[in-house]
Amino acid sequence: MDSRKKILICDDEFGIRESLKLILEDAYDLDFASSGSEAVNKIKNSYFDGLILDIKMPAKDGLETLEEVKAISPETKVIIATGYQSVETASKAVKLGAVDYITKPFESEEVLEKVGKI
Amino acid sequence: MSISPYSIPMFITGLAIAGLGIFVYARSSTVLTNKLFFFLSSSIFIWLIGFGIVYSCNNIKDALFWGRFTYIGIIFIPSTTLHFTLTLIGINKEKKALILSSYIFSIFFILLSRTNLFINGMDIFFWGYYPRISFAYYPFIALFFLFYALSLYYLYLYAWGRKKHIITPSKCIQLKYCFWAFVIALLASLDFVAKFGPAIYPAGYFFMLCFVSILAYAIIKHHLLEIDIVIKKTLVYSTLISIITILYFFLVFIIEKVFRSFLDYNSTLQTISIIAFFSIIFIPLKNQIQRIIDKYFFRGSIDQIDEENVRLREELQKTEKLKAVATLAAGMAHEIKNPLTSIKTFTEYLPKKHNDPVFVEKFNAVVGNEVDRINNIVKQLLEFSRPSELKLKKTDINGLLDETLSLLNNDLLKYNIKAKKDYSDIDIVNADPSQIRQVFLNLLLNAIDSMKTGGTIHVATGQKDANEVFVSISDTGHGIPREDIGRIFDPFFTRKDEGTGLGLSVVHGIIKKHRGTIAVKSVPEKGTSFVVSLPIH
Repeated sequence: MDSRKKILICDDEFGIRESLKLILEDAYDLDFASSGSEAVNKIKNSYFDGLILDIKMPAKDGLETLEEVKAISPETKVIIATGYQSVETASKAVKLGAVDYITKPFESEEVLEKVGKI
Repeated sequence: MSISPYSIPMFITGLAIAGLGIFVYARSSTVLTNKLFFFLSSSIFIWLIGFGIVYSCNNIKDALFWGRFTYIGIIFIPSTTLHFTLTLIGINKEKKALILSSYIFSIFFILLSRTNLFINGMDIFFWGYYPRISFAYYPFIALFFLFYALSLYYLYLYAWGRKKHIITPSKCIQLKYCFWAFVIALLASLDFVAKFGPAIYPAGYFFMLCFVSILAYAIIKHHLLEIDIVIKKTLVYSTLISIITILYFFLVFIIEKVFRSFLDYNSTLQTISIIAFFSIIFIPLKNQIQRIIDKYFFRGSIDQIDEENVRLREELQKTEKLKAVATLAAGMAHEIKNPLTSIKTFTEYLPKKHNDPVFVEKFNAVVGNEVDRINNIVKQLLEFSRPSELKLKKTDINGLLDETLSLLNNDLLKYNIKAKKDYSDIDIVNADPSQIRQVFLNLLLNAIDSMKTGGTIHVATGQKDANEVFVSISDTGHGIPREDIGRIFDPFFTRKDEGTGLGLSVVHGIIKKHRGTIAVKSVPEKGTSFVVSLPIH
């Protein structure tokens, strides 16, 4: 049985996806989505233990995606990634079901620690 | 007691001076000079009103009572003048002893004025009763002139003399006006002459009118007594009162001396005729004085207001620019964070993975790309901060809109605003990109401001013909009230609590410089739409 947790990384920026991959690939099974809709589709089709979700994305933003994800898969733990440090956004995300958030530019230890709690 | 015609000018002048005193006090009651000016005018008021009553008294007992009453005012004139003068110069603290001695002098003579040692009776002259003085009056006169002369001496010393260099030029002008006002007021001391016997009519009130006019002028033109230019009306009315007083006396003289000899003299008829005459001329005369005063006294002030307005406009423009830069900086910071995150993570893993060819390939692709992105952002910032001289170059309007929108992502996110783009394939426009970006930024910021509880911004571009493109920026915000539509491009017009009202006027200016047009359509509570048209060449 595969004991590695499955994490979905959703960010519209290639650089961020690659950075998170670099940090997490040794410990987790990773999948990637470059938009909110893509993430929702992937979650519909398979189970993920965790989702690292960018807040600011074109078309469907992070909060909108979060709402849909929680409706499809309430067990998936969501960590919000944001460059926009705001208590309002964080509390909104927590209300919608996010477990934690990381702010950009993030530290690899911080990412590992927070994802480790999933 | 019937009112003597000789009492009227005393009452009028007294009221004019009291009016000025109250006005000065009411405008800035906490400032010491204003308080002292109020006390000085009150002293003069008591003197003039008191003697006005004395002239109308028809028995010696009443005249003596009111005559003594007037000295409450007269005796305080030199001390309040000295105190006011020294305070205006700013040396009241170092001359405390002198000021105190002048008040002791006043209080001493106030007590003495109740006795026969000061005034021992009343003489009757053609204008009415007038005090007959006693021996204690002589030291009073001497000290009166001494303290008054000291006031003039200090004014002279600081306005023209050896202390001139220690005061500011504007203060110097103020002191000069005060000096001349007090010199004129000194001529009113001719009123003392009749107290020594000669029947010289005490026309001191006329000099007091000049005194009040000079001070009012100094207050208006040179900001004496920390009063702004709103005292115009006082000046108008005091001039009016002066003219009416002179006319009144002229008419009294004519009626008394000319018509009495061959007409049936009737004092009631005289009063009614004079009142009727003044009722007719009052308003036209007031308007004429108002025009003259506006023309000769306020021209400088209007220039000063213009200068002040220019200065304020410049300051506000700077504030507007700072506000735009602050928004820009917030957007920039946000935009820089993403590439920084990638660069930071990849460099962190470099020592560990530099032998991994896959990593090295990605490192080159990601880090190189992100450094370029940061470079572009910095370039945008520099372009934005350039001065506003029009620098036309081939500009991609769609690209510019995207750049501006990306700067505002922060705000869009914060206020839950969606941006919908509907770009057409339009020609490259000959424009100043930095200024057109400012146009888009200001319009988008306004749209955001109108949708603080969320909404949608719709940005569209299109081409009208071979010569013109258009950009439409619409929001679903609270809209602009119908009555405001015509004024939104006016500088400083705003309904926002924090707005400077320059945003749209800057937009209008830039579009005009580009020979373009801007149109607005707004429905309250539904939204606003701006359409900017720009010539391609």
